[in-house]
Amino acid sequence: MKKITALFISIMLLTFAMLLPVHAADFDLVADGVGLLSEDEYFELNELAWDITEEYQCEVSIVIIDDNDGDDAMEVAKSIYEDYNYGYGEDKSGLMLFLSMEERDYAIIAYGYGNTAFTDHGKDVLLERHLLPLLGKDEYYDSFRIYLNQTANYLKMARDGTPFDIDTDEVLAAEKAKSSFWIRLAVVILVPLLIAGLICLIFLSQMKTAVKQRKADYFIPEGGFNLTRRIDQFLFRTETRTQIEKKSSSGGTSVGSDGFSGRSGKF
Amino acid sequence: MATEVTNYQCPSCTGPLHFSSDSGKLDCDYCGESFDVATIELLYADKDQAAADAASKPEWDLTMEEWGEEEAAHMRAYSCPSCGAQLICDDTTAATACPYCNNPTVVPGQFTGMLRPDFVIPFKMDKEAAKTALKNNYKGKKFLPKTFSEENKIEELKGIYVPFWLFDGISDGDVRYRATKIHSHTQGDEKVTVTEHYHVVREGNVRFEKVPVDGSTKMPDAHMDAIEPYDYLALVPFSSAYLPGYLADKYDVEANVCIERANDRIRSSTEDKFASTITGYASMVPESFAINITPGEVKYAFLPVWVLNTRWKGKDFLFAMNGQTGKLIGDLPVDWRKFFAWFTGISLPIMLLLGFILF
Repeated sequence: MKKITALFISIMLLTFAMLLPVHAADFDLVADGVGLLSEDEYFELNELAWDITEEYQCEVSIVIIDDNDGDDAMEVAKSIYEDYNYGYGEDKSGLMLFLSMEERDYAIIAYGYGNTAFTDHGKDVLLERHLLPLLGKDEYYDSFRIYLNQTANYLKMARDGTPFDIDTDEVLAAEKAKSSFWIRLAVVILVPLLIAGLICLIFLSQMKTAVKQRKADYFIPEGGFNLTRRIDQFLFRTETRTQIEKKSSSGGTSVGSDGFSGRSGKF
Repeated sequence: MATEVTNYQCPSCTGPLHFSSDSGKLDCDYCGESFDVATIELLYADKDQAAADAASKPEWDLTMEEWGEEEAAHMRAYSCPSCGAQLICDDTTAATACPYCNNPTVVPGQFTGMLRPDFVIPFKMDKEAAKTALKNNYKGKKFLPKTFSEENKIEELKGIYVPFWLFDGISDGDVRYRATKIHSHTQGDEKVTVTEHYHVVREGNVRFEKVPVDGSTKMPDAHMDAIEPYDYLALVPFSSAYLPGYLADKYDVEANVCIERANDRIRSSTEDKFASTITGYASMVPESFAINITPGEVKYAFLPVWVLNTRWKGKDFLFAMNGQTGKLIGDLPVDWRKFFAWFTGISLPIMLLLGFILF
């Protein structure tokens, strides 16, 4: 972790030096330690990140490093967030997208008010619908721009009192409505067919009455069955344990004891 | 001194078991289970004997009486040149048509080489009762073609004595199952499922009396099985005095050919009887069935059946009614237009109703 932190400090210093004339007073919210972005892209994204941060008073940032030395991406992102004083205001509100290029690890973490604006479902959607498809194709500038634009949307919804979540996700609602339509249609078609089929099969069975007998139960006289030995011997016991699946989330954010919420994986 | 070495296998994982002098039990090195010696001995006990019993085939006593000269003199034999049925009747009854195929020309033959039935159950249902039962059988059949019942010649209903072999026997069974009981409870965020494995043994015997197998190839087994059972309290020693007015079918399947069918039915019922005593388990997997049938008597009997053979649209339909209990069976033709009309008539309104509710 020390090696990563040292590397990160050098990235930050280099970035500050590069941008000093333009953003002398600003802290870089887009820290590209690998050189994925051109200078213009870098300036543009930084400016956008700052605009969003100022407008919604919640810091949105992007940190890209070369190598996290095999450490967990989420833990590395958290330590950078804490060690380099990321976050807006006293409650350090913010959302950080962290990439480690060598391992192709990603992490997205939220803190403070960021946990309210960026719910678990919101982070999942941000990653799966918007970011990961582009990151997978190494389209970094586009993915960062979309990331920043989407965070602005999320923050706006949160400010309006309805953070982006399961119940406010219009795409999800449309998918549910669509699947619900097909389920209802299947019920309308299949249930009557099954009922009619069952009734007709009962009527049909009345037409065929000649059936061969397999058994001779009728011909066992009263008292004709004698059980002379009856043993139920216990042999051994086996035990299996299965994790009880939690009911599907009804929304909200799962915040850890360290105050962070987040997602991580590979892109 | 001869020493017999037995390699016991673990019932849990089939690994070899060894005796532990510390615990006094048989331990498995592979899965760590321990078993009482008595438990393992029980598992292995009598296995060879059971296998030998299962392999043995019962021998039945097929010695039977033939017709006396005096009685045979008053009997007539006929054969149907169309379906090959062999019919007998007394000299007061005229066989005018074959009851199986309705061929109006039956040929008189020689009444020789036949066994005399030991028993007979006389007809209890008369022809009128049989006709009424047949008409009632058509009622309420939704898919019955309208023309089928109209074109039936119910008058051609014939009472015949069908030859049956009646087998007595006792089946001794030694059945073994592997059974499980399952309990589950929740511990923290885990579901704990405990499965208890049992070795289940049942031994005993089942007595069977007069298991019938029809001895006529003309009468389908399914028809004769389906009109069972006859009340054997009405079974009386055979006398040709019961024959006037009825035809009797001469057996054309020997008793020794029918034995296998009787044995199958006896075995199947024996397995069910033992299985019915094993309760309280979540699952039961049979390990071995050793069923040994001790043969008893085999008797030859005439049992009363009302028969109607009718032809409709080029296909034969045979109806049979138990001449003692009145139980009637017979496959009926299906009018598939009626079937689809009913299917549509039921499904469409429900579809509309559900569509109205759900959309």
